[in-house]
Amino acid sequence: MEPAAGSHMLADWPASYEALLRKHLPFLEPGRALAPDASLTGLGLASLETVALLLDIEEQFNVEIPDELLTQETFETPVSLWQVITTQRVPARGAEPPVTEPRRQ
Amino acid sequence: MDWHKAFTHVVTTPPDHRQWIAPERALEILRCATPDLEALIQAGMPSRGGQVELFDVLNAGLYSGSQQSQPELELALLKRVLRAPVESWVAPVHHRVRAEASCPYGGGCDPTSTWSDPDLVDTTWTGRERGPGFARWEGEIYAHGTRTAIADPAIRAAWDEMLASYRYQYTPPGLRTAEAARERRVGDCAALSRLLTARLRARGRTAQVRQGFLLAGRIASTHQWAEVRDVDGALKPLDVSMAMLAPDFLTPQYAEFCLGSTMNRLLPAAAESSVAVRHECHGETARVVPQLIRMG
Repeated sequence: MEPAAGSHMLADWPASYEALLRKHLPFLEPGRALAPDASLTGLGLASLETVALLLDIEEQFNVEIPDELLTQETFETPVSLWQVITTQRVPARGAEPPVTEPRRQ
Repeated sequence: MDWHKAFTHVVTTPPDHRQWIAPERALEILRCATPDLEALIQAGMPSRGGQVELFDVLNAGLYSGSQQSQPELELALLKRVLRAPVESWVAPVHHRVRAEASCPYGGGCDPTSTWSDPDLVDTTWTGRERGPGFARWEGEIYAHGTRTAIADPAIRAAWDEMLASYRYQYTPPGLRTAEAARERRVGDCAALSRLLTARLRARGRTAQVRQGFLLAGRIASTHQWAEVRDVDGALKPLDVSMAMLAPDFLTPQYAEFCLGSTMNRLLPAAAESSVAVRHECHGETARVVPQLIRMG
């Protein structure tokens, strides 16, 4: 599936998030831009892959996403999922502050 | 990955109930590489011309310990819910959901066909959409759990016998009966609930099997459990299949909770009803299980 036509939203997430997301999007060709408002389902995020992605996100970003936020709306687009991650992201006690990563646009 | 060890846990599907699947589908379920599947076949998993049996694969995945197989990932969703304090398991909650069903005839669906609404407890369907070959409902579910203990020693005894003598396994449709579970010593939620219900009735207790959805994660899975009338007159749930899975895949605390209590993620169909909707199409009645999706 093509990214949504007329997409003009800007991606504002670390490269590690996009790299992780790409692992779970079989229909997104390498090198092709990931539009923030692209349909994750359209890019191949199947039901089971959603679970694997969730577990990867929680491990990599040190975040716990409550079950009630595991909704269709959360997993609609890259940006909707990233917004949930950022709202839930709390550094673990005693953990190093998160490394600032280069952002892409 | 020790596939030999994983396969020792599997009671294989009898020949007359086998559903052969392509290796590609097996790899999707196991979420592993081709050599792993070959190792499973070498460990004794039946195969036919490169194909393997669906339920054998699901059960090998369940007991693989890989933490990556489809059965393990689905249970991981429920385990995440159980990280919260037990009070949150039973608190009133609101779920905004969508149910989607497809006609078995696909594009050949009769344009004058009809669909019944999903018959779920405490659910209000606020939107309905029909199209060629599909139906969709938008709704609100107000669910709550219950935390009760079983007082009747005979019910407790039947429960303990089940946990001591039987195991959970994915089970082909033709073997989801009390008799098959008794004979094979394994069963899925339907077979084990039917067997427990039969045992309780044999002891003179009022018991029935209930159906519903279990909502952990974005998409709900279908589930069945038993319900029994205790000495205080109350109908109480007995989720025997989850109690069997809990020590290894969830938490021991949840195993005990399944005896008499129910969590707010369990969305029961109305008593005497099922999770399936009725679809009248081409003069026939099809029973279709919709997919239930949490929207927000």
